[in-house]
Amino acid sequence: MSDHEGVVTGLIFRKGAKRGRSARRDVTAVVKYGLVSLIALFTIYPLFLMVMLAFGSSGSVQMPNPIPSRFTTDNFAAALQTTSVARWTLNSLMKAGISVIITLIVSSMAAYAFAKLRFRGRSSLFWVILSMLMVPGQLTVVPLYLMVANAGGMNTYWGLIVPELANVQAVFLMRQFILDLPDDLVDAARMDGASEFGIYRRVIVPLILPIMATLGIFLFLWQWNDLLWPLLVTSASNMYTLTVGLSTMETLAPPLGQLMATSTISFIPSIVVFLVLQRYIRGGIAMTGMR
Amino acid sequence: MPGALVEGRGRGRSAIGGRVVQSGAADVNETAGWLFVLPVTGLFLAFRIAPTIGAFGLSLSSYQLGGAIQWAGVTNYARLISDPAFWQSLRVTVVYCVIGTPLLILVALGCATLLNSIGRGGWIFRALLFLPYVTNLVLASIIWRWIYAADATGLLNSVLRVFHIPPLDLLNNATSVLPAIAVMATWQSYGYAMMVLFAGLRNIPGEYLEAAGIDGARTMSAFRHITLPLLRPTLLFVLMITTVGAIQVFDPVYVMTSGGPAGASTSLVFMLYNQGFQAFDYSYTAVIGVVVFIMCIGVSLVQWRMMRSGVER
Repeated sequence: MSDHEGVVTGLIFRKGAKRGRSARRDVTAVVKYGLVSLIALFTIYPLFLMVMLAFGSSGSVQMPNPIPSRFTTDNFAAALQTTSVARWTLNSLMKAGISVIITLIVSSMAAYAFAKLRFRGRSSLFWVILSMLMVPGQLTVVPLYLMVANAGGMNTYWGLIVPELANVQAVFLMRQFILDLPDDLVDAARMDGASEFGIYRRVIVPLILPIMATLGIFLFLWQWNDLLWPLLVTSASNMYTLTVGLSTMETLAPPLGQLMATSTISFIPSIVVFLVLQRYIRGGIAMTGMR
Repeated sequence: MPGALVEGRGRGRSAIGGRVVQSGAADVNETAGWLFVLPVTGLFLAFRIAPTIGAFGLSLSSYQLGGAIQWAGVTNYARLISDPAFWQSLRVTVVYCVIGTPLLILVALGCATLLNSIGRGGWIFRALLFLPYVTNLVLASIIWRWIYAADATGLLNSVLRVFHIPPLDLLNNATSVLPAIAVMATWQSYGYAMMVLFAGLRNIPGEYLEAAGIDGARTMSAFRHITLPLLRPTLLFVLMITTVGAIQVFDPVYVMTSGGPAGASTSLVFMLYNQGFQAFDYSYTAVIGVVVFIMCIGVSLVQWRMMRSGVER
């Protein structure tokens, strides 16, 4: 066979082989995307059901078809009237919002001290705090309850917020982050005569904003979804958080539509936080998983 | 010599400044340091350390609502050991861990692997699969309680009815109640474990797997011999937080089953809650808390050991 024919034959054969390989790749891709779409569907379905039931007028949902025959917002209106959902939402917002802000400030200050300042007892104190990671909340919950109740903290915002401000992960993660910041920045600011608090405010905080954002999101979600502590420390319906209110409402067997409407309300801030800030969530998980 | 350059020696000192500035800076450091950690230290002392010590003290005393605190030594522990309700709740918790943890890890690992092999548009699926984690267990319990509803209005039984299968009452059956709760809890929380494992998979250099591919290794054995060992620290971390979370299960029990039927889903923490806030026996509650604490520490220690031995290998 001449060189020319050889080359052409080779080209044809190679092309044929490549087409076979890429065809196999296509089938694999279809299977993969199909599978993950199925899983995603199963995962989302219960939430979809919740929203459908929330917007369906009573009796208009004939299972297993979840789409209501009549859409309405009556369930939301009824929930707002017969329960203290609005108040519960406010309480949850106050609890989560105030907790996150205070925890971030207080933990970042301590993290800066642990990372960049030298003082006696620094490592012992840090290890004592770290050891609290080992203590599950259920061990301390009863003594905490007794303490707070005796101090008049039942059904108050401070009783709801203050006991949960001490967060080990927040201190630990921010300290890790600040340790990686170059010392020269801090020293240069010191040479310029800045006070320690000034350094903290103008040098450190701007640099740790990303981790504060990520941490803040996780803290907010955790605080928003917290059940046990608010359950113990509130007994008056107007001080319940959304989680406590929802669980109490459930035991009273209200109309399904109202229950789902209230659940949907409790879900909205979470999903807003998630959608808007999911980039930080993904980055944060990568950070915590890399221990 | 005063005023001479001071070597940094990696201790964060800049090269400028004589001894006077240094000692001054050290003093300021000391005060500032303590001031900065003061709020956190105060919070931890008051709301973490003191209650922990208090819990141990309570467990050794006898204190009920309206009564006075009296020293009781180990009588509470003795009472616990001879209490069938305790052994029941311990068994429930262990069974729940044994069912729920592997389920969650398998689902999370499977999804993470699948997501890792998807290029374009993967982020949409990652967001969707993570979504339930953003909800809370109360909401999840409410939805799933309805899904599991015993009559045909619930999702599960209405679907079964289409196939002429008689309805199942999963939450009222002592054998099926724990798996049913485990499925719900897996749905709600597998997103986090999946993302951690996904990050771990992403960190495995592609060259290792490519090399295996060139050598003709098939996908399954490449997974077993290359991916899994490299994923080991991340896997152990996920295993640890999942197990500790399963030991502490409370929300679904409180919302969905109230510990029923007949105590078949009463976990340790649910029993703790009952003892503290239905029976108001605070010292007995503290003892259960100590048991939960020991279990969590035990699990963490075992898995921490496994992590270290892996590193040495």
